[in-house]
Amino acid sequence: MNIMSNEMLIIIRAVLPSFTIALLGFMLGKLDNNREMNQKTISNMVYYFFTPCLVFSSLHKRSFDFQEFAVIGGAAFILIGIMTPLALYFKKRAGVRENGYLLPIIFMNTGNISLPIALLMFGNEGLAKAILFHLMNIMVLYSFGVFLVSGKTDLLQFFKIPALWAAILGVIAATCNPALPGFVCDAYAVVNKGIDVLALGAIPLLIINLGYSMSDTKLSTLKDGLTGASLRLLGGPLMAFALVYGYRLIGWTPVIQGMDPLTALGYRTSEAIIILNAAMPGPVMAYLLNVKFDNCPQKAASMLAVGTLGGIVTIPLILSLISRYIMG
Amino acid sequence: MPEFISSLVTPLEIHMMLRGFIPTVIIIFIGIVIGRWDSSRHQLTLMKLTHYIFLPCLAFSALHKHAFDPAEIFRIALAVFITITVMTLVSVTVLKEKLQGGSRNILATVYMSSGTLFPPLAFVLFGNEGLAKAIYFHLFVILAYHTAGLWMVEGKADLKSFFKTPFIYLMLLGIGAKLFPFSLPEGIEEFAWLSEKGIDLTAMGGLPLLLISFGYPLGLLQRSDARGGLSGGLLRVIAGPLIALLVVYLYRKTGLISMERGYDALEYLDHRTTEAILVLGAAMPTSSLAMRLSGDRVNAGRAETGTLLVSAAVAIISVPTVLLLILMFIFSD
Repeated sequence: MNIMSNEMLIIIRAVLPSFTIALLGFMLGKLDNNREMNQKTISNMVYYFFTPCLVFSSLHKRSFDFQEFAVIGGAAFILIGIMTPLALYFKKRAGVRENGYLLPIIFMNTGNISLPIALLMFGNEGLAKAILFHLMNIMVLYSFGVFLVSGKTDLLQFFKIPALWAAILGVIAATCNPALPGFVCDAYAVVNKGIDVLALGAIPLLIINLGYSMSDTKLSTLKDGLTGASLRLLGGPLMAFALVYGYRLIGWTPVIQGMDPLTALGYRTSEAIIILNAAMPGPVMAYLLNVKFDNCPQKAASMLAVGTLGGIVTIPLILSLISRYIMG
Repeated sequence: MPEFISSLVTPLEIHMMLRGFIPTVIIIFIGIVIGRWDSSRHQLTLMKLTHYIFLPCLAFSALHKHAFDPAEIFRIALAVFITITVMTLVSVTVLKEKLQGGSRNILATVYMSSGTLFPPLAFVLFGNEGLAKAIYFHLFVILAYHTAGLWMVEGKADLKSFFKTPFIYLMLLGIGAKLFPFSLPEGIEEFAWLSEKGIDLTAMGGLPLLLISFGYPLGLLQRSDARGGLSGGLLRVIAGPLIALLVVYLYRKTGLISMERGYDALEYLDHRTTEAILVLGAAMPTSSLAMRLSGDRVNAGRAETGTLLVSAAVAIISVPTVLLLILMFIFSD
């Protein structure tokens, strides 16, 4: 007798390995109760080396499609645009003056949580699409997000993101195919192998870092972030479903399968990635920006903690909706 | 290429070997860069990550897929103990150290980087079979370190800290999972399989992290540190593989490792991989964990630091040379 449906099994297959790794990070955090480890060392390694390698390794293996980038990047842009007035309304209702309150509601954690799930559920195609969404999300975070908390934009920071350059290089490598001398091809293959090996480290480290952070969460601080996190976790995917519906109506992601099932599957994966990312809790970077500009970091931390814990329940739920209504 | 080499190894084999070796060197260099740039100077973070998570996951991941063979474990254990014993005697003589109560440089000279550099290299070159053998190799190296090694410098063994190593328990779990496959109800089995997938994913992620944790402390050293460690460093990477080659020769002579090709080509290949792992493991540079960093300060003697630096620098040449010897005299017909 089957105790769970195939759909549910696929979702659990995508989420459970990530939870196992997060649990390892959580246990490490509990073991390290004196906080002897330095998360900055891990974050820097991930930020400067592992994630760029993952981005390059994923993007250079597939052809780049500008229309796909417009669909996915555009969705990130629109979702942030719709969430902003909603977040402003809730900020006013909560009686909070600082704009730092807005960031964990408007922006999504498209790195730590979304990339591993995208890879495990949708393979390299899903990962590459999730990276496109991630790039747009962080570009808006560094421009509009920084403007919200500091009154000025910081696009220079965006152009300093190593993953951006890795993405550009990955797209160039995927698009151009020049005839190169044999030794250059050999050298490229060797460097590529090094990059692929480094890329293997990105996802476990991203999740372990998250699990390690969660081990320090105090339950008493969680109630402050309940409203914001609920809006992020529930409002985000609802908007994304509406957006996908709109995309289908205007024909950006046509539903008709036609003669090319792979193209149709590509559209469905794009839609799934949009909804998955919209269902993510707030990003750690939002908290770091709030700390940097001293703009209500405690509330942001609380929203992130509630959002990440709540995600344990809501993300599988959203994945099951994706599986039923988008991929089904 | 000289004729005696080309008669034993094909250019394709050398090419394949370099395609495995060079990426590991690139990642070690990235580790050096991280060591230089990391303003927090926090080697402890990397050590804890590898000690508590990545190395144990790698051990489980490699061993639960690898056939358990007590004879193979015995061969590896014996080879490690012979290599370390002979290496200790040679080092004590050359470095003019005392057998007991000497400096920690003797440990840096005798003990190789079996837990950071070796497993990823074994995996890249020899796949999961090589990795599983490298894991056994590391087990016996740390056992020797916590017993004979610490007895030499501190006057007593420290088996307690050996048994505190999480790596051992995940290793035993991996062996247990292979030896006693038990069937679980369908749903639970699926959960167990998925958790195992999470561990496998972490294990693969451990490969670059182990290489980075080898390179990291090198990034904190200066060229001038090399002076005190010339003899120790050279001994580590040159005498080590020579002793291991001798051990392999003795194994073949005494029949401990069969040279019979027979009809089972895979068993023959397995024996050759064991030999290759024994020689390659002995050719590893000094363990970077010998040089524990604390904050901004290098918490190690000058000689140990020098031994690490010299052995790592020479290994860029000596390890491919040893790999060439392995191709020529172990894998060649």
